[in-house]
Amino acid sequence: MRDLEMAFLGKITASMTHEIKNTYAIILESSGLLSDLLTFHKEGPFPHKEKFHKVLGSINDQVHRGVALATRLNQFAHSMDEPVASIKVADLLELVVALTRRLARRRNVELQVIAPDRETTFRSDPFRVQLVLGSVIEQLVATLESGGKIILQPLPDAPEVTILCEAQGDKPAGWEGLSADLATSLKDILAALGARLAVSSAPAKEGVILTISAVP
Amino acid sequence: MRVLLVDDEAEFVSALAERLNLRGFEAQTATTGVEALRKIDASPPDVVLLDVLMPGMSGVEVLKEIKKTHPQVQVILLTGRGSWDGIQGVREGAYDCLMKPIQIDELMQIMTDAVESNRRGRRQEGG
Repeated sequence: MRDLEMAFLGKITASMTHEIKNTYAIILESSGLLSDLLTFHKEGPFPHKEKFHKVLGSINDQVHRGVALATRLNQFAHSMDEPVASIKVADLLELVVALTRRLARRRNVELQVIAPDRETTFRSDPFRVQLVLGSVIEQLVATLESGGKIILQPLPDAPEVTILCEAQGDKPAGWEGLSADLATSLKDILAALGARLAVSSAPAKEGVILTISAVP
Repeated sequence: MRVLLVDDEAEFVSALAERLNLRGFEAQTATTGVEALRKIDASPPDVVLLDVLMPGMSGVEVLKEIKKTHPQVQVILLTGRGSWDGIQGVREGAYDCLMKPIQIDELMQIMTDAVESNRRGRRQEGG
């Protein structure tokens, strides 16, 4: 039942984001046409020409921003298509960071992905992996003081897919306990994924480590 | 260069056609696959810019028909989705596939390359 529900949610969201991108394409071409008409205008001076170009430039920038957001939402929606799919680790981490960046920014916490290996893939449930990573980020953002930073990076040479969510910055005493509680609240999802969470403390890099057994 | 722009979003193709016309292209528009095929039969353009997702005939169906009846016409697909449509379209003979929204300079360059590639192909066939 859950897969049916997720697939439906994903299908509708993907379809709507596709329509949003179509709308942006129309706005972009229309503002582009206005800009062209100003540029190609030959009959005498056009009043407020520079101001028009400036405003059209701003529309252009905002449309591209909207397209980038819609594209990310579209990718997220397609992650619900199949319960098991081939996942590129680097792409998945970048998508999760893009989706949660706004939440982090509200508390002045920076998110970063370090994944020099662009090609490593594994098979799992992409939606659930994102849910777990998003929850870890949310927990770490709530833990860190303003000015902190969370770095997501796959650990090389691990027998399973292992992702370190490193929390850099000031944290209250006992933060490890709060992060450990995540494993309890995500118990069913972690079990379905064949995954586990562990807290990494000083002197090692501080943060949460997600380990996932790939589906053959 | 003669271009036919095909997309069910009439405002999109009309704005794009005007922009291309301002730059010296001869751009026409169609908002369905059937209308596009009729215009191509009446007067084949050099390039067709074709949206993949349209009600009625899909872009890939229109592409197959064009390649059957007017193989010399270059087709560039336009998609708002991921790359799968593009891969399928290129397999069916499309010159390239662009993601919406498009950059007009990039579009003009690809259309020019498509026509040039066609000319080179015909010169080689003619020996």
